[in-house]
Amino acid sequence: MPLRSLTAVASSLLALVVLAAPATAQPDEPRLELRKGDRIVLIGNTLAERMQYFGHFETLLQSRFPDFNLTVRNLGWSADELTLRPRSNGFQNHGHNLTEHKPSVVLAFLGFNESFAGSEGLARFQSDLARFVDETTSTAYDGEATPRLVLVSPIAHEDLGDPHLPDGSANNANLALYTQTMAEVARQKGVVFVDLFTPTRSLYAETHTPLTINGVHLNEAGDAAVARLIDEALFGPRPASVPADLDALRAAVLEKDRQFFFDYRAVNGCYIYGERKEPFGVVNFPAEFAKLRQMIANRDQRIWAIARGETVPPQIDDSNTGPFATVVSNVARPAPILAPDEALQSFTLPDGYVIELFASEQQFPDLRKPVQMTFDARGRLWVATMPSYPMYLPGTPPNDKILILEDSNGDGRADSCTTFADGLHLPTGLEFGKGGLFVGQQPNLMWLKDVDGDDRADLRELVLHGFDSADSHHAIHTFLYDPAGGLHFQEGVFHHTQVETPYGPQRVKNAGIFRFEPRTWRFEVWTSYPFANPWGHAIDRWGQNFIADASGGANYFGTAFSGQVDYPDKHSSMEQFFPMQWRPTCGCELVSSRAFPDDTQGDYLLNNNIGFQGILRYRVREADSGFRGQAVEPLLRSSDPCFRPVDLEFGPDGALYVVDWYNPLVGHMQHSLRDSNRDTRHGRIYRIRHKDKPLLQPARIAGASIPELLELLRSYEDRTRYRVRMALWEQPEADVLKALDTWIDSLDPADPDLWRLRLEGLWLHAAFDHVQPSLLRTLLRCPEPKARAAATRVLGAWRDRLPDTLDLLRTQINDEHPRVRLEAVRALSFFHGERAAQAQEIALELLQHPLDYYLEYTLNETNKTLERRLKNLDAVAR
Amino acid sequence: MLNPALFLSILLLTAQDSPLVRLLKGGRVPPERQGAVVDLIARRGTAADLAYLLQQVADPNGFEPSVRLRALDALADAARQRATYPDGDRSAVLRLAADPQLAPDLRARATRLAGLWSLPDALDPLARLAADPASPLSVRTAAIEALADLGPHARGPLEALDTDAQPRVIRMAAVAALARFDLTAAAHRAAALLSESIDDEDLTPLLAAFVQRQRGPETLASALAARPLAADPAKRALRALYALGRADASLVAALSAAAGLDAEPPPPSDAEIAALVAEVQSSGDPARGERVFRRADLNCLGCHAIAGAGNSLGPDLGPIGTTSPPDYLLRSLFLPDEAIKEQYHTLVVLTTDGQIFHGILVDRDDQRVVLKDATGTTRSIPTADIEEEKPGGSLMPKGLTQLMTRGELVDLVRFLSELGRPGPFALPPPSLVRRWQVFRDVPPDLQQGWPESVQVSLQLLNADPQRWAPAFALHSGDLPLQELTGLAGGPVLYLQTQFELAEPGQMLAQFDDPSGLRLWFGARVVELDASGAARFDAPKGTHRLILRVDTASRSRPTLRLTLQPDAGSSARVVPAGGL
Repeated sequence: MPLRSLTAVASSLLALVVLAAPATAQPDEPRLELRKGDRIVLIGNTLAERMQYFGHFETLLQSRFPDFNLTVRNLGWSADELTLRPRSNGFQNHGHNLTEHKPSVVLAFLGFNESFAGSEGLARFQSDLARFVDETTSTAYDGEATPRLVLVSPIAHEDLGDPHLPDGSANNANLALYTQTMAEVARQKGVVFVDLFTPTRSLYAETHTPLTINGVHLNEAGDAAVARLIDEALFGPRPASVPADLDALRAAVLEKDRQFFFDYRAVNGCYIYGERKEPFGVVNFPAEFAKLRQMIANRDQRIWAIARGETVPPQIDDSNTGPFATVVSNVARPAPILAPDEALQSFTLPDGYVIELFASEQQFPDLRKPVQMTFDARGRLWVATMPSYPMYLPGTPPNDKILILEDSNGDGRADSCTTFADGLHLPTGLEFGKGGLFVGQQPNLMWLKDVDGDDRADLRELVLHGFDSADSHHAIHTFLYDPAGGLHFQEGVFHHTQVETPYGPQRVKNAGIFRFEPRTWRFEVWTSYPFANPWGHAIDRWGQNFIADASGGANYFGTAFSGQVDYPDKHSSMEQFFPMQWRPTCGCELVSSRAFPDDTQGDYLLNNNIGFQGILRYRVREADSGFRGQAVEPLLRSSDPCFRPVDLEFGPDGALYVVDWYNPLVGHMQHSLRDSNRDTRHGRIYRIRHKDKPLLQPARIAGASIPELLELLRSYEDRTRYRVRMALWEQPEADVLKALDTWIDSLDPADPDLWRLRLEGLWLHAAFDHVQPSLLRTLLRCPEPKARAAATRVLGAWRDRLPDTLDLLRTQINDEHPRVRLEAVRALSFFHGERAAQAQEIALELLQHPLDYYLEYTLNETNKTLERRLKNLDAVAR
Repeated sequence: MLNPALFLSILLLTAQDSPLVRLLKGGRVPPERQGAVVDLIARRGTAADLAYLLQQVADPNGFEPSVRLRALDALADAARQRATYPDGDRSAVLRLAADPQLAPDLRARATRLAGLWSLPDALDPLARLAADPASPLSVRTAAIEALADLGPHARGPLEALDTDAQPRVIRMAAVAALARFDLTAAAHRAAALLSESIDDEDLTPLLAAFVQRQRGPETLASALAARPLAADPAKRALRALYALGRADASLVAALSAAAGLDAEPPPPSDAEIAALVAEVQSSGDPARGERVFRRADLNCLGCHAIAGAGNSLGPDLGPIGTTSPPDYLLRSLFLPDEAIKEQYHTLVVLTTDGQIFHGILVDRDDQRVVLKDATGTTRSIPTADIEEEKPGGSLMPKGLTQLMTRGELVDLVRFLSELGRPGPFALPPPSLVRRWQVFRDVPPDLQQGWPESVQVSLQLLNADPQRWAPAFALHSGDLPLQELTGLAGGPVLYLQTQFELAEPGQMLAQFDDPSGLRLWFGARVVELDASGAARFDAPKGTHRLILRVDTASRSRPTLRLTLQPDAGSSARVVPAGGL
């Protein structure tokens, strides 16, 4: 094929682009001309980003051009838009700018996130896109020639027929508009355009199995289908045969993509290229990344060999990748590592309490660096381990695991350890859901499922993308459901996170707490607050939140700062609910166990990992709209400097379980990330009980019927109800809702727990995304103020699905109880557009009642948010 | 065509009476909550809202006194933060400022507003207030700042204040104000004032006027070059500069030269750090290092506590030896900007009128940035005034290592690297009292005899809290008494410490040595036995122990107290802060 200039190619294609609109159209001749040695870079949103995890497009591409030695780099990034691509500090120094990748071909996947601005945003999109095309096609990134640019439209939104997901009609109207605009700009500017919107719409209609996981993000089959669409749109019909073994080729592509992922999305960017690279990172990381980049180049070679039809050795030879730099430890006197039985002697507890070893690396060598735990319906302890911490070392595949520890004979020690999943990298959090397990896999949220019941994860799906990882221990952690089915997880400062959802992109910078509804895919920034790194979240039996910020040791009453703010705004500083004693901390839990002394019930427990090294305890009392804590005698203290309690949770037996990260070194900043004194081999889990209080007979959750589960919502222990709710959410919706109605009707009006039980019913409706106005209205005005407060939060969540939400909130804001008023003023922060003015008027009615610190704080926050929205509205109207 | 709801919302934004003023006028908000509405108006209110506040403030029958003060603050905030001013005539504040019948705090606020609003015809009344020795000090300093707001034509009245006839605090305030529009003239006057400084005088406001201004440090440095300070005044100025968290090269050079110190040595090489680390381990003495840590000129305790004893602007260092090896500590001392914990990140903000602020970011929104500077002062800077901002380094000044010998540095780092490790510097038990307060300038009657309960009650328990200065014990719990006699103005000290009980019961206070001591629980005397033990019943709640120490009749130079529930007591102490 003669080499023609890009413009010539493009303009000769103009007619084709315009005329070839129908879905099935395939150009008769190649539309994108490739040349030997081309460097092809994909940029844009998660449509591009997810392609690196499936590899189909590059497999088709490399097989079609076996002699071209094409280098393909996927720079897709969740929720990237034309003019908004936030990155953590220093990322531009990491070697992944276009000037460093030197593309000769750029494939830009745009328009999905932008489309949520609707028809009002179209004009701006058009001019931004035109500017982008001009800039991209006039910059010689390799210093010699300008790249050939391809604009790729969004895919259509697939209607999955799930009543809890958008059917896509609203999004598709917008996506069609934005696709049209992209086509228009491409035509005007003479660049190649691939319309995926039109053909995917037809594909969805023709295919019987889903092609997306949530309507907007492709699953593996969808990726394969769309890869083929792009391939044929760019290069015409597939050749009759190719030299490559396509399976082998795809495996090689995925291996290259994985190593490139470790480079491009390297965790701990702060210490590699960011503000904390001095003095340690500059010693080891340059050699590590030089090695990794050579490994990636080796994998390109392997791809090309397979594409040519050659056989390659099973092992990749990376002997040419150079040495690591020598890292000299700056730890002269590391604390000794104690054996578990010695470590047990290091603890002091108040009279009557007993600490016992539940599991250790001595018995289960896989129990290395445990970090977070959860208990399943059978009472088994699931724990995430991170021996690869602080991060992947090039050439050593990370093998972090999720383990299941089971005490089958009830003697308080684990008897077996099963590996549910391995090969993970830094699983910072875990919780069950949707019949599987959600796991933090920065920068993604992963969902694992055991399909055949052998306690091994068979399915792995990345479900959310875009969580920053600039500091690996700041990345999504502390997984906790609220009673209405929202899964919370949290992240720390330095991070710029942006997540694509079927409802539009969500963003936060410099710390926040997320809330994700697996059933509806609704994902929100639950609070955008300038935390350092909030490892700790506890929710009381009435749904009130308590947040622990690890680094500074701060503790907050969470309800007050969980109203909505609009990105990039953050909530103002809020006072702590008790004076900080010791920093830093990791994990908090409220005492709710009949196996603990009566006078400790409701106490707030807080792990401390440096200095005090134990479990602090605070008495929590109601104080007006909020709570106050008061320090009381700590529950546990260790004299072993390696004891690092990082998670704590009451188990099914009513004992308190504590995860010990067990490490002589913890600081990221004080030692090299590669300091040889960082331990990777130890880890313990302890159990604390009281000798005068018998342990509980665990509730029978696994295998219980729906009515039995509903009855278990009467349980005293918060953690039992927590696990019962998770079990109920897994049951068929119609069965649960039917049984629930019967159960609520059967409640004895004289039952002292009546309102709490009805509230559990309301929460269950909310978790099933089922609006139940009559139960809501009853609870909003019931005699129990704590139930009225909790119902007010549900009302806020259903704000767009009730006809009179604001009228109901006006009643709540004039409630006699301050916490109900607090929930109401919080809920009013969620109103946008025309309703913001009315919400503001209602919020100010709060001033007719006594104020306290939190009411005043939340009123200011809500008023600020509404005021800004009204000002914007005013500006638009003018 | 607007739809009705949208129209309504716009109406609300532009209507004469905003929802907030309607609330105030509606009479449904009782006085104790009107302050909250006033605060909201300060943050978000329109010029019309502010006019309503001013009208109420000026009216003797308007707001109640506390709401009146809050409304004046609201008017000042709106002017500073949002450049929003009340509609209509604003001259009422001049009348309030000059009214001797009104409380000084109200007058000072009204005075300040005259400047913030640049009222016409304010120059003469403000100049009179500033110069009048009969005006309260707070009104005079407010008038000086307000004069500076009026700009260069206030030069005459301000310069007139810098004379021997005026107290130094007024002179320094006037010179600091002058720096806002004539740096050079102000710098020469400042150099003269600095040359006559005395011990314990607070020079930070005067220095801040220069270092928080573009080209301020250089201008002051050249004035000081023209008129070099003697060694002691130079050291005082250098200390004030460090206390501001600043180490501007030009000023440090000028002051260091005058004080006889080496200004800016290059940072140590890796080999030098390694040699220092070796020395820390072989010959560093942690006890000597603790004394270095407590030195007034280094001011470590001004920002850092050790297990709760000290201030909390920087991280508590109680367990730092368990997390931070000597090389890291040394680098942090030489290069404070290199590694900064999350919550101590700072911003440097340059404002449109040339001011420079450096502090820890406390808060920010669309209207303002709030910074806490090295003196612990919180400042709110309107976003509209920000010309430029960039990440700042640590608030810990560079150059502290200059104030130490090599041996002292080695001892200090050894001390820090032992903190929290098993041994004598392990975290102290909570029963050991390490946070004290010492009563300043003990009056003669309290010095001479054993005071009666009524005296303890009137003169000590009910004293202005400002009279009590913080005093922190050594890590061991020993409180060095000689360090405190200067503050007390004699050999007799009055100390106090606080504790809180969650449950009532008998408490045991055990002193290391009873000589020269007398103890009160509240206003009640508690007898000490020969072993230095005292037992007393205490109810639930927060309490104070007052201690009289006659250092002259005490058998040792230090004092140590442990305070805990007596054996078998039902008392439960609320643990106080740790780290």
